[in-house]
Amino acid sequence: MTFGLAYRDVLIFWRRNSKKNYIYNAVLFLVLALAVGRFGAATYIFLMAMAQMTTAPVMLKEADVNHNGWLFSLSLPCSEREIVRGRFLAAYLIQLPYLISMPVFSVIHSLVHRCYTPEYYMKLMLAAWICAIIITAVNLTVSFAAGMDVVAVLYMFLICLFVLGYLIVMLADIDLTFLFFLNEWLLIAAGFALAFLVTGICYLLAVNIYKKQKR
Amino acid sequence: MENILEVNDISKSYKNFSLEHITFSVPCGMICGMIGENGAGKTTTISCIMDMLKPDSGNVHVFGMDYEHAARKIKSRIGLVMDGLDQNPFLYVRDIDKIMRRLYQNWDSDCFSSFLDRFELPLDKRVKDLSKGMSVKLNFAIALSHGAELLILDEATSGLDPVMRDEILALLQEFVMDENHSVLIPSHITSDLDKIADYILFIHEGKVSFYKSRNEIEENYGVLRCGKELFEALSPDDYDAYIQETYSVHVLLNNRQAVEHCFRDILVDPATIEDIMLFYVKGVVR
Repeated sequence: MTFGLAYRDVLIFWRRNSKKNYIYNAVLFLVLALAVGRFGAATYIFLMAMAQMTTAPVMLKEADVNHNGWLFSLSLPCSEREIVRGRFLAAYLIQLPYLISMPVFSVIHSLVHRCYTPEYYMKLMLAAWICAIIITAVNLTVSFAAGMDVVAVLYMFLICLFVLGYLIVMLADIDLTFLFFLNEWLLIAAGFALAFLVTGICYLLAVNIYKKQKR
Repeated sequence: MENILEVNDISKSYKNFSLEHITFSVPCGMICGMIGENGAGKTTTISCIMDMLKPDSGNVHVFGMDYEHAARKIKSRIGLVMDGLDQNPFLYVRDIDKIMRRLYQNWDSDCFSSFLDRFELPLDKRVKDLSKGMSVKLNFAIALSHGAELLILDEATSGLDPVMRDEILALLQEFVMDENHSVLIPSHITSDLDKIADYILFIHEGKVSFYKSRNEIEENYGVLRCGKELFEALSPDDYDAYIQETYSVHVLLNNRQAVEHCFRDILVDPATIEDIMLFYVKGVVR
C-alpha cells in the first residue's frame, strides 16, 4: 500500500512537470558542465540539483490542496501511517533522477575542466544529498501541518539561505579548506546520521500531525 | 434483511454547525437517497461514514464491522464517487489503472477497461482535458472496478446530461440486483431519487427529519391542496407539514388513504421527494 501511494505521488510529480521544465534543466546542466569551470560543479550539484531534489513537498502539497489529493488519500483502504510513509517514500524517490544526474555531471565537468579531484566531486555530492534529505524531511512535516503558502515560503526560504551561503563563499572567496583538516569522511557519515535522525523524527511528527488533522 | 450500513446516533459539532444524533441504516440490496438543502449536513455525514471525520459521539458500522477494528477491510469494499473528488488533473486516463491496482487488492483491470470502453473514455487524455461528464464517468468506472459492495455517490450525477444520468441510474439498479450490494446517494437531483431510491433520508439543519421507504411514501404520502375549512377538518395526525398560501393550504399528508376515505371528493397528488423536502424546509412541520 505504501508503495502504491508513493507510486501515485511520483507519477503525479512526473506528469505535473512540463517538458519545458525538463528542457530547461537539461540546458542548465550542459551549460554548467561544459562552459563554467570552477564554479560550475558547486552551482549545479549544490544549488541546481539540490533545489530540484527538494521541490517534492511543495508540488505534492499543491496537488493535495488544489486537487483534493488529501481527500482522495482518506478514502483509500490504508492507515494514516501508510499515507505519511507513502509521501515520504515518494519525496525521496523523486530525488533519484537528480541524484543520478550528479555523478554524470561530475564526470563531464571533470573531463572538460579538470579542476577538481574525483574525491572533491564525491564529497560535494554527498553533502548536497545530506542537505536535500534534511530539507525534504522538514518541508514534508510542515506540509502535513500547514497550508500551501507556508510550505512554499519555507521552501523558498531554505533555498535562499543556501544560495546566500553559496554566494558569500564564492564572491568573498572564503577559504573552506580548513574543513579538510577534519576527517571529512567522518564528517559526511555524521551528516548522514543526522539526516536519517531528522527524517525519523520528522516522520513520527508528521504521522501525529496527520492523525490529529484528520479528526 | 441485513443492514450493509448502520449509522447510530452520530453527532459532530463545529463552531457554526452541528450534526445531531443521526441514525439510519441501509439494508442490503437497497438504494438509499439522502436529501437536504446545502449545508444541512449531508457531506459531514458521508465523511463520518467514510471515516474521514471522527464523530464526537455515536458509531458507524459498515458490513457489520467498525472502523476501529477493520478500517482497511471496510474501505476496500466501499466505492466513493464525490463531486470534487476527481483524479489528479495531470494524470492520463491510462495511469489510473496502474495506480489503482497498487492501491486496491481487488482491483480488476479488465473490468475497468470494459467500463472505459462502455463510457467511451480515451486512454490517452489527461484528466484535466476530460469534460465534467467524462470525469464523473471515470470516477464511476473506478468505484465499480474494485469489487465495492457499498457505493456512496455524493452529488455524483450532477454534471451529467439526462441521457448519461439515465444510463448511470440503470447501472446502479443493475449493481443492487446482487442482493449484497447497496447504494447511498446524497443528491440534490430529487427526480433521480424518485426513479431509483428504495429509501429516502432527509437531513435538515443537521438532524434527520425524515427516513422512510419509497413504498411507504407511495402508499401513505400525498399532497392535498385545499381551503382553510377542509384543512381545519383534518386530524393533525394525518399530515406531517403544511404550507399556508394566501387563498389555500398545501398539506403533506402521511395517511392519504384514510383522508381520501373520509373526504371522498378531494384530489390528492402523489408526493414526490422534492415535495417532501419543500414541505419540511418551507412549511410548518407538525
